[in-house]
Amino acid sequence: MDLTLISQGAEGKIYTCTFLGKKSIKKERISRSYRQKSLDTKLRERRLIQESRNLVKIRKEGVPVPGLYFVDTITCSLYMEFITPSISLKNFFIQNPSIPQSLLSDFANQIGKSVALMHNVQCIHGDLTTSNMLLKPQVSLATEILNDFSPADYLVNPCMVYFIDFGLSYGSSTPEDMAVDLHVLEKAISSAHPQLEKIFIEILAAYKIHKRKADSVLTKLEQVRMRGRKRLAFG
Amino acid sequence: MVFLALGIEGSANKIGVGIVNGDGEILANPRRTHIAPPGSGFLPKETADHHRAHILDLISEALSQAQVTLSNISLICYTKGPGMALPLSVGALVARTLSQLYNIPIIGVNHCVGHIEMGRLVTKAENPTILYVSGGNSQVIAYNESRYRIFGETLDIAVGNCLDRFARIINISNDPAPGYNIEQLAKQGKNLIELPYVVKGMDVSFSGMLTFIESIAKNHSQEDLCFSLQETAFAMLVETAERAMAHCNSNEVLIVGGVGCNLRLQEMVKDMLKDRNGKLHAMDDRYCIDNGAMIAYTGMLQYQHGDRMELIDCTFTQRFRTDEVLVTWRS
Repeated sequence: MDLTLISQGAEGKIYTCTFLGKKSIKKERISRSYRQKSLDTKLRERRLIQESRNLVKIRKEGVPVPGLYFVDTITCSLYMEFITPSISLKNFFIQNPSIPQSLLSDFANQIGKSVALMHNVQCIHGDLTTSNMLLKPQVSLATEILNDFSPADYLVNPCMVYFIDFGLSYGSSTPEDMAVDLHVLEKAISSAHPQLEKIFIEILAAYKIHKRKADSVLTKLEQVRMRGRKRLAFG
Repeated sequence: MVFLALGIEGSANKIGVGIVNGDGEILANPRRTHIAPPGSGFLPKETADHHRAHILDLISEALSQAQVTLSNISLICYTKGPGMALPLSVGALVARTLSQLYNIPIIGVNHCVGHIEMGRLVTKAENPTILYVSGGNSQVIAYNESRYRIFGETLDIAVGNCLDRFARIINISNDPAPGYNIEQLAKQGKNLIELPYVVKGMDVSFSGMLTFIESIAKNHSQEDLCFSLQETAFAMLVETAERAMAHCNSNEVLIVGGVGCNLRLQEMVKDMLKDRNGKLHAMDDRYCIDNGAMIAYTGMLQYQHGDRMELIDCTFTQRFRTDEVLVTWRS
């Protein structure tokens, strides 16, 4: 198979490949030598299954995620839809220093809604960062234009925010876990894109509209934030 | 005349006095450690008593080692926080007194930033992802836009606190340090006991692990318990550090804080970095264990970049987040 490594995250290696004649993504959870064998196997297998289950589950809810093609439990690999052209939200923010407010609001709405839809079916993403969100243009363009889509092109074409990397996702119905999920996102934004901190307010607003019983989660979020402040008691 | 900074650190169970010159060279860095009896942790009052009993001797010791007198000192630095209030008060009080007696400018330093800056000075690491692991803190930090941003941290207790409390549960000695004794016992461990592994994004949680291991402690050997605790807790830290590295496109790791002395943790981080062609900057007393020189050096950086403090602001605080400090000395 024509594997091309495109990134190496903490979870594993991401390749592009051809799967049944279709350009696809292969995500392989490689064995990590720093941890004990039994722990390593347990983590890889558990996360592989969680990721595939949750991908299928929330795709049904209408959250934009890559389609799942095949699960290989021997090598702990997933074969998925290749989202292209696309750019991670993180790189988009970094490479476009000035982004119109209307566009930011659009993305915030999409993110808030998608997270709400996931939480409505008790799926906690577990690693909501801007690296794990991809922008994909929603227009049908000629292949040659799509092939050299530049970061600035994403500013002028309407885009859909895709969610990837469900490797740390799990099922839970408690407001606590959902609040922590949102808190992870809040911190990821404030630490990686401090100048865009305000976008989180809009994300929460959209979340509130689409999440059932959003109030209990948002109240919990307040407590989770306070906990973060209080935690630093010692040096 | 040479610029000389004197730093006082006393945020936890160590009291240290360091003298650093304008080039960041350490001229003296003595310290004393308050060691609690087995089965107990260090308590604020006893720790503060210990610090009070040693601080003046330490200052004389540092001055004579550096072959200077107090009138040669250009800047007094002390740990403003975070830490335990009573021990912190000792350092702050002595710093203020010296500042007034000898008419020397004074500056308060964030303890965590002290670790990081000393680590960068000693290792010459350019822009590392920092794994800050101690008895009070477990944070994954990276520099971005004038602040040390916290990418991930513990949601409850620090990893060092988890180890210390576990040592108390199974009654391991606190001399020289509970973590050190756990590390030695872990070397003889063979069987990995399954413990709760809690990673949420870049955050970790250790309190469930501690509760769980306490409940099963009777059924296993000390060696296996120590081994399993270390392997599981450190795997969580390494994983979050790697996730932060991937997020920030960094390929250097700097480990600071007392738990950074653990050789197994260093080995695991090295192993992780091998897969990424990264580099580890690990363990050196000068920045891993609390000391005065790191406070002196960081205070000096702040001072040289225009930071000033009035006596009335020279307080101390138990809560002082790493990302509250505006880092003026890095561009």
